[in-house]
Amino acid sequence: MDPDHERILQARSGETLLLLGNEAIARAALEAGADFASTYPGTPSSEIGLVLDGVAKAAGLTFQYAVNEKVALETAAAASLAGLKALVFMKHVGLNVASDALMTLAYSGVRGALVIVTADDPGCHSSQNEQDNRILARFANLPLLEPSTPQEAHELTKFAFEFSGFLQMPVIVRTTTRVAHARGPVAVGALGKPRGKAHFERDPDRFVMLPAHAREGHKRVLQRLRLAEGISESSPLNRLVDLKEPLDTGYITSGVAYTYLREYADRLAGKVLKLGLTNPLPRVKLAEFLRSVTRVVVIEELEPFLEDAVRALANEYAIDVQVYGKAQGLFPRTGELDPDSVAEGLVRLGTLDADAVKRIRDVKMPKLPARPPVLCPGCGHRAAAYAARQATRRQDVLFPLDIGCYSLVEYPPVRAGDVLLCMGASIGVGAGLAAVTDQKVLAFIGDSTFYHAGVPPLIHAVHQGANLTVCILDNGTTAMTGHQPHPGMPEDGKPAVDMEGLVRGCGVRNVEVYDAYDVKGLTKAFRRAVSHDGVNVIIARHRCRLLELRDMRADGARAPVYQVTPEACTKCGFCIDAFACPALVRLEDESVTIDIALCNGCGVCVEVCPPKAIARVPEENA
Amino acid sequence: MKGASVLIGGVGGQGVILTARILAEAALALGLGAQMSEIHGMSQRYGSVVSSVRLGKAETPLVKRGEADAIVGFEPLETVRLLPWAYRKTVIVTSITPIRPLSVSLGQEAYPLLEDLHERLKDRAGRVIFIDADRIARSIGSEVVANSVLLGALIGTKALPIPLDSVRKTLVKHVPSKLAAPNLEALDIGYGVAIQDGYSIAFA
Ligand SMILES: Cc1ncc(C[n+]2csc(CCOP(=O)(O)OP(=O)(O)O)c2C)c(N)n1
Repeated sequence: MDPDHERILQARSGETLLLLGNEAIARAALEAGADFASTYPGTPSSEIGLVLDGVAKAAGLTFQYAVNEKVALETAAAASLAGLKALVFMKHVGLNVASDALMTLAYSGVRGALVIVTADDPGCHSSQNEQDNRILARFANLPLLEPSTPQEAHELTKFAFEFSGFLQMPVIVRTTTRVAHARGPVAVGALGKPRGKAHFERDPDRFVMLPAHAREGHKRVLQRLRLAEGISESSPLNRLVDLKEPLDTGYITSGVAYTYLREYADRLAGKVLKLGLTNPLPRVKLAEFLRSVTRVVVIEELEPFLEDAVRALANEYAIDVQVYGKAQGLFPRTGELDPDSVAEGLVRLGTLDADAVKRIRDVKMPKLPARPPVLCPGCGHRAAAYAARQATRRQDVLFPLDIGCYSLVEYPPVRAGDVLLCMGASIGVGAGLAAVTDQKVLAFIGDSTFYHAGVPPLIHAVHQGANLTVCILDNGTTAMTGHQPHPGMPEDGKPAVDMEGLVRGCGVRNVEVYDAYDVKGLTKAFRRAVSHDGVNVIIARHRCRLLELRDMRADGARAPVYQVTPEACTKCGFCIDAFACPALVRLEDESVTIDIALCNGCGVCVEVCPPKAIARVPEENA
Repeated sequence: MKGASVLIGGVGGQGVILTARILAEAALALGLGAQMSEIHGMSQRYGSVVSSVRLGKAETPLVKRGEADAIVGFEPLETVRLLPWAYRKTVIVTSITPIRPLSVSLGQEAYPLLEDLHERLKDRAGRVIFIDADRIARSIGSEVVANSVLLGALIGTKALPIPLDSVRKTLVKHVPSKLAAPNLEALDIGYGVAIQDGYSIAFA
């Protein structure tokens, strides 16, 4: 077991560990006695799964990596309908995928307990958007908890299990990157005891959502929400914190924004309403708060979720109070907040002395070259995308792209990306482009993404007779999010779902498989495929080089070593300008050398180099 | 104790997060408060990575601009990127080996002159230690311990209320046992470099 996971499992009640928010959530689930947990990985939620997967057996919890978030939610829902305590977690956009199940599950409610963690990503550190899922919680009429710190992530997750059990409805815990990926001291409690198996008691009136039952379900969820509102009114999660006199300025805040406000607590006058349970809102408590001040400042990340509600409430109760926040542009509606941006807003409003931000002088910064992430040396994705680019150099080919490490092939020099939307969209968008243009279309999709959301659009493309080439970049793992397994890989006695068989089963006749390092073979295959009618699938397969190297090291083996023969290098620069493996370095005199420290020994550059100046160093000299 | 704010920046894969973690765990073991922020996901693939650590009482692991007590840079360009967080008393420890971003390799952008980068650091901060961490690591026989050289130098500046011994104890718990010895060696040498550097300033 990973030593960190072991520490998390073994910690005694009362012990304090330095935990990530995500690790704190995992520990809390164990303390709550969760029986079942499921996810589809996604940053910034992934470490919850890494921990629970690691400790599941020892803790007596059933953990599953689901094929996608919708299935993760459905299976976790089933566990809770059978009376068990279940946890399901995903990144913010994962909840979009699961939302079909979510909206109706709110009507039927749950039995044991069901906690749904959504990890939002303000600032798009690792995401295609920065949607605010608090709005989804309100949309689904589900209770919502917003922790501010790892310690609170622990407390609120544990509470969420109780809350869900009491209300018999799913409860949403919404973290953000700065909570999920903050590491702080967390005092843990005692581990709970999972029950294991359950027996499902039939109750079709509640669980079979035919229209007649759904109409009742809608009423039921609203009635439950009133119970939750009562709890919201009295819960210490929604609490008042006095700063210093005079108290006529109020601050309303939730999530990580609260910690940023606290950074200036000794310089601010007024009082704070710190909200941890933000749907349903404690309307009476809020109204009282609004009446007790002359102006109120709402500080929250992303959407004006609280701010709009506060304004509506002030209006409804005709409370004479000025509401400040995003409406006046004090705080941005896009990107993350941080202590500086919170201070700047407060200084502009005049509740914080300008002294607090005096060190935020504008430093005159030179223009520095950016350093976006790149594919690792030895990555098969680079080789396959390079081959596709070379094969189609002189043609008008569109490259709908998908989400994963391979999204990086959009960066120069390969630039094999024209549309990137969401998981699975490379094939859906590709089918659409094929239908409405005469351009050729070559879609890239990763293996995990293919299982997650690529199968229905592939069926669609075949059925619609699209002229589309799909390249499945099969590295045998979900690499981007931390190398989680997927249904294409056998693990622990779970059978693999064969990719070629699946593709053929979708109706694709033309399926070819190449080693992703086989640039020559792939180039020819791409050339053939794009001029071939119908749907063609090319599987470019090579296990993620990082995993391959890890296994080699464990076996005491070493990756092969490659070198440029200086006399043979013509300084054409093609290897860097077209392929750009980070291990290829251009020297002062324009010749190229291989940085041994970076090279992962894939050997693809041997094929790429026009004058064939790169060769493997014989084992004995390496 | 007065708290301290530290920023550690570098390139994904250099061990930025691990280094921050060792610092935070060492502080916690001493009974000081400690928090840190780390960003996982995309940036770990050779992109810019920053981790912040706050010791003592703090509400958030994030460091305010102009308020970093110490900045550790694993790569010169990445060190300079953190300048908005420095002020006139900040202690900066930086590696001197550039790693070219892809845009530079492709000839689309130029890597700034190292002297200019160094000047900018010296201009803004209280004390700057330039340290050839990679060469020192290689001399120990393990390229991967460069981060411990830098961590040692940070501790050697005495900018933080954490003694070398605490860091040594924590470090061995967080690196593979095979790498414990070279990491400790790297830590000690880095520490020595910073101490010596301090003397030369004092006696100049
Ligand atoms: C709906 C949704 N769920 C999860 C993610 C997070 N995510 C980004 S890429 C990826 C998986 C990539 O795996 P794969 O397709 O195998 O490509 P690889 O990273 O291995 O190249 C995941 C899970 C997301 N962006 N959207």
